[in-house]
Amino acid sequence: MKKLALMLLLLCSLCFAAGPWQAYAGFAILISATMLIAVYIIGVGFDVREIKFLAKDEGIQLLVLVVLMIALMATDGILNTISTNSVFAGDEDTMQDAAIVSLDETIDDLSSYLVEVQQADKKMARESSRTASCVLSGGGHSVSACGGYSMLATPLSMSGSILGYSIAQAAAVQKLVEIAQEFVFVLILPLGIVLRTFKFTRGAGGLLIALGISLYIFVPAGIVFSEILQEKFEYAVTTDPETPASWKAGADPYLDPPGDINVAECEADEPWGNVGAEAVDAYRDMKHELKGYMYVFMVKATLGPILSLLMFIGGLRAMTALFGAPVDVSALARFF
Amino acid sequence: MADMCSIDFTTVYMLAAYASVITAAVIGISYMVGNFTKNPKVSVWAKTEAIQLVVSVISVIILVFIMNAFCLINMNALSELFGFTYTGSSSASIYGGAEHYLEGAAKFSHNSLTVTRYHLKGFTVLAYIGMFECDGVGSAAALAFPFLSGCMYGYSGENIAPFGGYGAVNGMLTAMFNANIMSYIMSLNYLFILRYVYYGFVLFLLPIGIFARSLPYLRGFGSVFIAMAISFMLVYPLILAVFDLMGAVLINSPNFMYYDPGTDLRPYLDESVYPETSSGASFAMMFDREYLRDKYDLEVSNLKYIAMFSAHSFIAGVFLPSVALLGTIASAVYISRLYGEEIDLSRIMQMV
Repeated sequence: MKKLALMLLLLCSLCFAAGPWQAYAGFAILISATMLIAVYIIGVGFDVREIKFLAKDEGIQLLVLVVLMIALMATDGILNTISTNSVFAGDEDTMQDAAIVSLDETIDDLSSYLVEVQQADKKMARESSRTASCVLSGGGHSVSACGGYSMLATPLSMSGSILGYSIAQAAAVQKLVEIAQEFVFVLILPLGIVLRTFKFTRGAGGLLIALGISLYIFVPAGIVFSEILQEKFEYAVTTDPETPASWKAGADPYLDPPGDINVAECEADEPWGNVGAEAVDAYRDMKHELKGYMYVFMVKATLGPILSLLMFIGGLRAMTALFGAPVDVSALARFF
Repeated sequence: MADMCSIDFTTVYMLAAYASVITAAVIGISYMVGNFTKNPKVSVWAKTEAIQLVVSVISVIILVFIMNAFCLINMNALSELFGFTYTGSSSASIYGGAEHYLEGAAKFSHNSLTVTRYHLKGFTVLAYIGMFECDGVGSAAALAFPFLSGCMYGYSGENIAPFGGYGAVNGMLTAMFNANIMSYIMSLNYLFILRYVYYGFVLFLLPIGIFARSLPYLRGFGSVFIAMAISFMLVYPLILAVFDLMGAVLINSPNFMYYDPGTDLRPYLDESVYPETSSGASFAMMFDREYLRDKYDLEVSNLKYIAMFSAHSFIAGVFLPSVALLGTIASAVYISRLYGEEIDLSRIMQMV
């Protein structure tokens, strides 16, 4: 106990030398240490074993916190080293920037695909709605020879919802990376350390520290890993000479940027014309082009964010346990 | 709504004091009975419970002390300490900051909901527009002899829905609309929980907790109550207040509106107008599809930003407040362990 008190006093000088949050964290540790000493004295004075044990236990927690604080000062450097490592950061300054650029590209790609799907949908619906009528004095006929196109409305509507979800998913992960960039070192980690000092707020403090590190490292790392995997895959199926030609041919429709879905104009009053074939041609064209969309919205916009969120939630769970107050974060996983 | 720091909790504190006195009396009587009957089990029990009572009372004193400290800490000053500009009230405390964040998240989600609803309505209206294109309109013969056109003397031509193809857009907007409703309701739900906590429900658990902790077989029960009171009065508002410090980025406080240099979604908050169109019908719409398109067609370039707005409102209104609640529940487990009995709150976790 004496050694611990001495160590804390030595740390006190660091409080004044460091920045504002380090100073506040140092003061928080000192206040906590003073309270602990008081509790320990009460325990010794009344000879209550439980209180002495509690004070000792808290002393160890305080020691852990001092180590954490020192680790954070070093971690600032460690996390920045990971963040700026060229393997993760690529052409950008940091891993977080690389993740944001990657997600920006994905969102832009998805947005342009959404517009293309919407345009195809628009043409298709216009053609399928055509009904030719000829009425004279209450008598006549109407014919809807282009109705075959209406079968394509459901898959296009579904594509629209999936594209919308994919954009939202990528934007949500991008927001988390932005929060991490902006607040982890200036707010979340320092405040987490201060709160972890006191018994009643230890859970909140541990959660904030774990949240900060998980947001800063795991969320962008998931995006960058996914990007690296995609690059490897794209190289393997397009450039690598060892890849069999049949594999490359099979992958082409998925990797080629999708083109327009062709919808031929239909004659509403010619049921005896080439009605079915027009809709079937559009369907075949759509089936081919959707493979190009699939690669972006299933792999880039869904797999990447899911990988990063899984890493984030796994990291959060492990680190809250490490920092003293395990939190069951499985509920968060259900949101995505 | 009254400020939480101005609420008078004297009744609750008095109840806690009564509970402590009654518990002390029960313990004292038990000790005397133990001595009188020369039963060491009873006197040892009484001694143990006396310590537990002291622990409970100290906990309440510390809780009240920290609550007062939270009322004294100014969010503006705290924000300046970390180098941010606070967007809430200059006199807000930690409790005020927590409330400000959730109110802001609800406004942000509601704005996202309004913008999405506007577009969903617009595209649905477009999808149901129909027109009848008469045969021969514009031909030389029909101009010379109008009765030859399909619009005169009976009719012939094509019924068409020129903007019927918004299924994909409406599918996407419906998905975003659902997500926005969830964000809005969840942020209101978390705000309701916070106000429920502020108006004293949790503090009423304190006297019950103090009394129950000193009764046989009820230590765990009492511990849960005290742990819940501490967690919900301290941890939940504190984490939300931390999010409030990030308000300028999380919910674009004080505007509570999505911001992107590429678009301005603010006009869509005024639901009484249809920004892309002028009002009134026109004879030209009967014959000119392009005129109709110019008159009613909505911009699809907003769709990307609507999806991003919805995603941000989900993060602000659902994801982060859920983290706060999970942290609070985890704290309750942690604190109840401190009081001697661990509780299993995994079922409550599943409700999040």
